[in-house]
Amino acid sequence: MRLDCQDIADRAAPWLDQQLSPGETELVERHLDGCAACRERLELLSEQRFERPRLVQVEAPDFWRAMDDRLAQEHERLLAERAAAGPTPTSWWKREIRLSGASLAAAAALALSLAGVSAWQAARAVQADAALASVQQELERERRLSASREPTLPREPVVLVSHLPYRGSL
Amino acid sequence: MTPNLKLVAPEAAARWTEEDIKALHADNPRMALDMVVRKYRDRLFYHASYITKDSQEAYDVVQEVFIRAMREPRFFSEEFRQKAWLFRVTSNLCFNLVRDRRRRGAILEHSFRDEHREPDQADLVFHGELRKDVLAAIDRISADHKEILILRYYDDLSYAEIAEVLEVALGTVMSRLSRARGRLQEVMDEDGRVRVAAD
Repeated sequence: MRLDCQDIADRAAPWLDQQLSPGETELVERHLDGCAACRERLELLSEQRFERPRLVQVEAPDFWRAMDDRLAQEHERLLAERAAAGPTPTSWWKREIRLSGASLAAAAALALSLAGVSAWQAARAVQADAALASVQQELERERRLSASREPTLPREPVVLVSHLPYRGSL
Repeated sequence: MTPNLKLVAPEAAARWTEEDIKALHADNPRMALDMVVRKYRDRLFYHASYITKDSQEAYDVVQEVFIRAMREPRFFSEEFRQKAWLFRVTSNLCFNLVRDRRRRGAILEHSFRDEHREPDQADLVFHGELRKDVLAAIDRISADHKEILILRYYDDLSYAEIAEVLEVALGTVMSRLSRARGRLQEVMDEDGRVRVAAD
């Protein structure tokens, strides 16, 4: 990337104040190496002296004291205004909007969470029903088999519930 | 006893952070405001003086700024940038004053007031070996350029702080400040030519 003379003019102050990043500084200096006009211009700007005027402020306790008094008065007035306006300084309809906005938001959040919970419960219930149905089919099949085969060997009990999703209340 | 009592020593005003002051505000709003005043009043007074060149106007502006701060509902809220806001409002009030003064053509009135100032009144003296070239030239460039030069070279604000005061991007601070210095140089060059011609 190369900078042109306008770019240098826009970066003169931060370059003189050493506020450019190292990368930008290098780009500016690369341009200055090859551009006598910009070098001359920046040299002129570097001679500007912004020395603070030696502000000799004659001590002004009276003024600051007067200002403190005035601010105290203003503060009292502000408190009185707020007290007169009631606990909430906003107008009733703004409060209504804010309240109804808050209630709406709360209701929406509740509805969403209920909907989320019930959807989740429903999904789990479907899974549970399916599992139970498959177990019942399995039992039914076992019953048919045992009815058709006489006598039967003693069998291991069927383990039913370990994979069933929880169906209780949340 | 408030846990922030250590912050109350007036000589420590400059070390109070905005966070300290905001924390105190919850317990004691009046004292928090007082801390803001102690922390910033001198700097704002100088800032106003550089723009208006009139100490009485500068005092009036500073007082008005603090009254506005008191009435600004967000002033002590967590995200609020107090310093930037105070400098911004001070600048705006000062430039309004300067503009009104110009509009009224009040130069005569102004010098009349200077002559009749009460001797015991607080005063501000721009004296000694001032760089009058720069100070005089600064008054002859646009308000935007004058403001940014004062914020940077007289109030000593960082580039990032200036960006907050002016509510612009850092890059804009860099380019505006560069152009302000360029414009200042042009005005000073013109003055120099006028002086040479007069000699």
